[in-house]
Amino acid sequence: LQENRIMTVTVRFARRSFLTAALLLPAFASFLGSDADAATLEEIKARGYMIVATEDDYKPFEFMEDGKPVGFDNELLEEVRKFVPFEIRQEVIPWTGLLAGVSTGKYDVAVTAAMITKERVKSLDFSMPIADSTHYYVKRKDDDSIKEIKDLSGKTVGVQSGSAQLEKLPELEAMLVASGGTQAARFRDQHDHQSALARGRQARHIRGRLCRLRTDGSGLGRRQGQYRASRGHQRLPCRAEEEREPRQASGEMARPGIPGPAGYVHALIMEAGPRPDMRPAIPEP
Amino acid sequence: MTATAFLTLLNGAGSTLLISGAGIAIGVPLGFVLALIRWARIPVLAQIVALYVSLLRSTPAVTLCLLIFFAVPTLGIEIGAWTAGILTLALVTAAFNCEIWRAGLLNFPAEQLEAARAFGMTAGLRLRRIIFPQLWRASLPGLVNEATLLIKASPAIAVIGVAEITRAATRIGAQTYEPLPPMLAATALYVAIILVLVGLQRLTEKRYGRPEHRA
Repeated sequence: LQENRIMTVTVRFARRSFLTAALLLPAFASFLGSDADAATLEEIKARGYMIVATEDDYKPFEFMEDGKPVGFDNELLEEVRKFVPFEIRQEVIPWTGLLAGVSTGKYDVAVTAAMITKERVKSLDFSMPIADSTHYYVKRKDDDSIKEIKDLSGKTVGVQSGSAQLEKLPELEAMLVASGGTQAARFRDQHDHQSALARGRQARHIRGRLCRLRTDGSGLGRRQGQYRASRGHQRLPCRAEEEREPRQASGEMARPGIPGPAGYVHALIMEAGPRPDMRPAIPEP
Repeated sequence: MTATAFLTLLNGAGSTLLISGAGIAIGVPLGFVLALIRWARIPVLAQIVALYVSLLRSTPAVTLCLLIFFAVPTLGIEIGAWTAGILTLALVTAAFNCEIWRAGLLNFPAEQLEAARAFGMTAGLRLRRIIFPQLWRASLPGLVNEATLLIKASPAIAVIGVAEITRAATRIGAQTYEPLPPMLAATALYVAIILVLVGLQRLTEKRYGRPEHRA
């Protein structure tokens, strides 16, 4: 019975953690508390360029290889470059600066892997979701004390502060109540807990991982409508989405030439250790 | 770590040196001017400087950097990442350097100044001939100390996209999932930079110090 309950919660956990690699739009709240002077699509067309911010250390979405930004979101940006009638100027900036930059209007959009959360929707506009994700824990390969989720009870966890994963911790703790308490140590960023993990100081950390690219969008459609309605903005992403939807329908977004993130995730999970059966199944909608 | 990864780190070291160097080059003289304003008790200006020093000493470099890079453009002034980075480090270090210079000024023997006045030296001449030659020698250890702290505080400017040593190491770690080797290499680079800086201080002290202070 206990086992069943855990599985049920696991599924819920997975379902509720849809992740999107999203185009974030400038927020209303700027640094100074006034309306950010976010450029509209018309203004961008008129001036001839759009400033896009991406991150540099969020593999597989965005990372640096030989000094060049690469990864799934950069490939997405390449696709966007092909059809937009203006120049795209890219700035590479860490997550902390990225959000500040988008909300002050310094960057027109951010193309980055950001999960849509209730908190973020308050200050940022998102495009429609382009991917969903599941949270995983990552442990050292040689750590035999963790074989399944219930083994996590009582271990120390490293989570990126301000991340959507942090918000998910209570759900994990609820899952573990059946098999005992848990405690959480908060590490400042993912690098910190990768190195802490390597040093053996922590058993696991939770991170969103892109699971697979949804080419049909049907599972996310409802959610997308919900967020779009809540913000009601038809500014920058519109054009990109109009163009993207037929591409998705034709399967172009997932054609073999554009490596989907699924391969990355597989590689990562194998490397990181958890058994394949640890991955919570995502039920088809 | 691959050769390209090491080159990335060296590139980062170049950025660290350039930005910190520029910050120090602006911050040390600026701190001196601020210290003079406070020391001379120039009305209004002295109070403003005191406020500036208190504010800047209590502002984390990251916050200041974000503020300069993102808030200043909303006032209509465009500013690049490198300019914002240099400005941040210069403003921060100027506040600390101001206090180092001021400590030297407050400690300056009054009798020397009285003697200089008795000879009819103007304020400018006193500063140039009597105060400054002794002051910089006395302040050098404190200034170099602050410079080393500034170099180690420079990763703060990575937040606006300047890939200095620490950010370069983070990028390599994020790409390879092996964060420790690049971090250790980054540490070695910082140690090397600071050792060179301290070595320069020793050389300067040897060359220009008073004979009894030359060790």
